[in-house]
Amino acid sequence: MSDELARPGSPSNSSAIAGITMADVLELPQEMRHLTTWMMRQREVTLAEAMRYMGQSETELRPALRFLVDKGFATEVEVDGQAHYRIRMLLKQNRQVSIDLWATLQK
Amino acid sequence: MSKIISIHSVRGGTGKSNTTANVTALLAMQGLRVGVVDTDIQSPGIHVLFGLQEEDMVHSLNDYLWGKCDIKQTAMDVTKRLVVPIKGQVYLIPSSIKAGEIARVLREGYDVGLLNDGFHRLVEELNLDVLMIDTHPGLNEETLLSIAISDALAILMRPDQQDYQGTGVTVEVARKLEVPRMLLVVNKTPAAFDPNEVRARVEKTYNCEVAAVMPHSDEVMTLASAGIFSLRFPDHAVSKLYRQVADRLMA
Repeated sequence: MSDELARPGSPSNSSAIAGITMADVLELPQEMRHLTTWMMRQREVTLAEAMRYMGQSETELRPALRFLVDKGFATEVEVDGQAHYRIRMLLKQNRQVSIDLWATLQK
Repeated sequence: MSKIISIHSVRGGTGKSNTTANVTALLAMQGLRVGVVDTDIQSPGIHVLFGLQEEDMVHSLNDYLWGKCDIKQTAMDVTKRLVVPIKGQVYLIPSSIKAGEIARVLREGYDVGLLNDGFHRLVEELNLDVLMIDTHPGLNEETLLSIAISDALAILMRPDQQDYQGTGVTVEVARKLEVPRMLLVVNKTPAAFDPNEVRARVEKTYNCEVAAVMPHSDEVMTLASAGIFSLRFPDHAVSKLYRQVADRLMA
């Protein structure tokens, strides 16, 4: 992973609401996107599983996982002394439609 | 090893729900346990193909997304509703068809992460071999998620200039999301077109395998979603093509 990815906190997603949108996923650099989409398909992964999938050492992969966690794109939990990672999706934004329309539809 | 399969199209009316229902039924005929989720929350419809009415639905996907029930409670075993004996099992997770509930989802939104969790939990808790996702047409947050988490994706298109352009975008996005297996299905092809030429042109345009070129069929139109075509007419040419799509998706 590049040094750039190891530095969290670029402005585009540093809002208080944590989570990743699919638009964010599409904008990730290729290698990070490769990791993220795989994690989404697995639901939850361990560091060892991610290392196997990416073909990287712990030293190489840690910055990428740190980046995802620091940005709020992934959560890290410890299970039996082992780190597990899971992608965290951002709560969907509401659609802006006239209140009258919603009221009518709910009648 | 279970599989998640999404059936998508960039525009409505391509035959997405019909294809999803037919592939689902054909896989279940082979003895597989198949779940099918209607994620077209804004315009649900696949329940009709499985013979479900509003009053049959105890819980819907909407209830799960609002935290009213567990995802497993939304799954309805519809195997016995199919017109022929099925070796496997079919579970349908319908979206609500109540206008107020559709409006609420549009107004309040929902946690897209719940969808991902729900899909995986369905696979685990129902011990599914395959989870089919019938998506909303076009590209939005939910459809992108469904595409991203799929092991296989079928993109339906008609041989129509608008479909050609939109499908190109979807193929590009699916490639960026690294879907392990992507197929195109050309549907509603007019009889005047040579299916081999259509296949060759589409494969060349998108550099992507075409699973089937399905003809426009009066027989399918006449059934009018009142059932699953390939179960009613197993020897029909269209049913054979649905079987071909199912086989290619599982390959």
